[in-house]
Amino acid sequence: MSINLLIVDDEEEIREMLARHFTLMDYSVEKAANGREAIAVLERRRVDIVITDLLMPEMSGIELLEYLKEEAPMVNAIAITGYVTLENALSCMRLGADTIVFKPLEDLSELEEAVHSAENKMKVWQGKLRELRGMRNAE
Amino acid sequence: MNDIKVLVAEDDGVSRKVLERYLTKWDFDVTCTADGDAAWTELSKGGYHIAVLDWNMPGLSGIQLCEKIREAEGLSLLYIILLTGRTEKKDMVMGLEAGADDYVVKPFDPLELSSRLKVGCRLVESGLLLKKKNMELNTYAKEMESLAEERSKMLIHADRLASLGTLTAGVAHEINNPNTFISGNAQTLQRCWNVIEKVLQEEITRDPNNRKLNMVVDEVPKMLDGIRNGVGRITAIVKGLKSFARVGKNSTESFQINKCLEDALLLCATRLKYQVEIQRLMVDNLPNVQGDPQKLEQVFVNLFTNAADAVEEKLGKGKGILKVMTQTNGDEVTVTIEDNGPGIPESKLVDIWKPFFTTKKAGKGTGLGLAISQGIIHDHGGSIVVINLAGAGAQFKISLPAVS
Repeated sequence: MSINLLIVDDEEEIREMLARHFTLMDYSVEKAANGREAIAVLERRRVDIVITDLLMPEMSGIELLEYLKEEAPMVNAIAITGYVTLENALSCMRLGADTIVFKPLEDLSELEEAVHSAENKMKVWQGKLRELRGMRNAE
Repeated sequence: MNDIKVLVAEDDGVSRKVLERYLTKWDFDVTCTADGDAAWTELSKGGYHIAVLDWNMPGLSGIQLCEKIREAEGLSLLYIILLTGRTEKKDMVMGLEAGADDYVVKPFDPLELSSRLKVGCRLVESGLLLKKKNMELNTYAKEMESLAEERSKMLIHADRLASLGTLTAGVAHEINNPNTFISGNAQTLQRCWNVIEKVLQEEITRDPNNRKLNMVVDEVPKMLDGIRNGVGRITAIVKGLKSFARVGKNSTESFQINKCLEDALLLCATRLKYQVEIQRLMVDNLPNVQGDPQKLEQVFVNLFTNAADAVEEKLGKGKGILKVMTQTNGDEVTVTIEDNGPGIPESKLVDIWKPFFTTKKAGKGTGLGLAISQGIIHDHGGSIVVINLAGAGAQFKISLPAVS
């Protein structure tokens, strides 16, 4: 099963760059330019991991995280920001983001690792669910 | 009353002598003249407080003198007593209209003249006092004016600095975005290149003399390195600018400066290890200083790496000395950081504090370190100065208020 990523950033070049990068790493990738567009994607299809910028027009990353916490708690969220403040970091933590990665993403491996660990967490749960299903079938 | 200067103008010699004698007796500083013109010449020299003028004189008459005096500048405080044999009311009015302050009829009664002179003295004195107060007020007003001007200049400066801070933070943020996608694309391209290179290598095995292919395989990794290198530099500048604009609030605590210096030395240990011998001359049990230890640590790291760079430039590896000293006079804690590098050219001693000024090679420094450091020290209510040492090397001295 391929992992579905949703990349949310109002800066097109960054959005495209990240989409390209993760597509080349064999993820299936969707893109959105702000929180509102992201929600439209989330309503349309399954998303496993959201990578979102914080400062965006129309609907910010923080608001998107709030939405995820309420409406789609199974979705993993990773925040990326160039606006490094304690307040931002704490908000992300409170809203259940996996981590926050600071731009300019000098080393993409930090982001990759965040995606990997989200992926692993999901795989562990999927394993558990399979086990449960197996047990149920055996009954 | 002896500092009151009186001028007498009287053409009649006997009258003049009598007047002179009385006035001298009453302790006035008296000068006598025999006609109107001489009186005018004398009065024009200034310094007189009271004039006793005869009406009828050769040259300028008493009346004409009165008019001239009242028209002249700087004689407005002069108290004029007109002396005359004319007794009619209209003469008196004419005299007063011409500018006389008082009127004494000849032959004069010494007692009356004395009383009238006393009145004159009182008026002269209060006039002088008023003038003095006026002058004081003027000086004060001027002082206030220049203070206000200075203050407004300071406010403009502060305002400029504040908008520079906002601008700087904005610019840093704007640069950060493109830097992100340059950096990210370069990294992705790097991985793509690994795929491409494999294919190209196969092609080269088939056609080993293809010059162009060989060149591409050699050069592309260098180009990618160049991009990464540029990104690294931009990142350093952006970080520096953000720090310069002081984004984020300062945390404040009371701490030992020695501990802060040791932390900073530890942070740049690898940079310093092969470059300098560290000499510590730190006084124990210093009073605490108040502020943000991390920010001060940033200042010290900056000064230490600058010292290491300077020493490397002059002496090559391993011969430098970095002296770190602390001391106190009770009110202040002083940190002195010395190196034995080439020092700072005298002509550049002022410029080193300016943002983006650097003597380092392109790419080695952003030119923001000292500007940021100075800002941090000022925020802590301290000062930072630099001098060149007699032998060689630079000495930075930081003073911070001690916590009492």
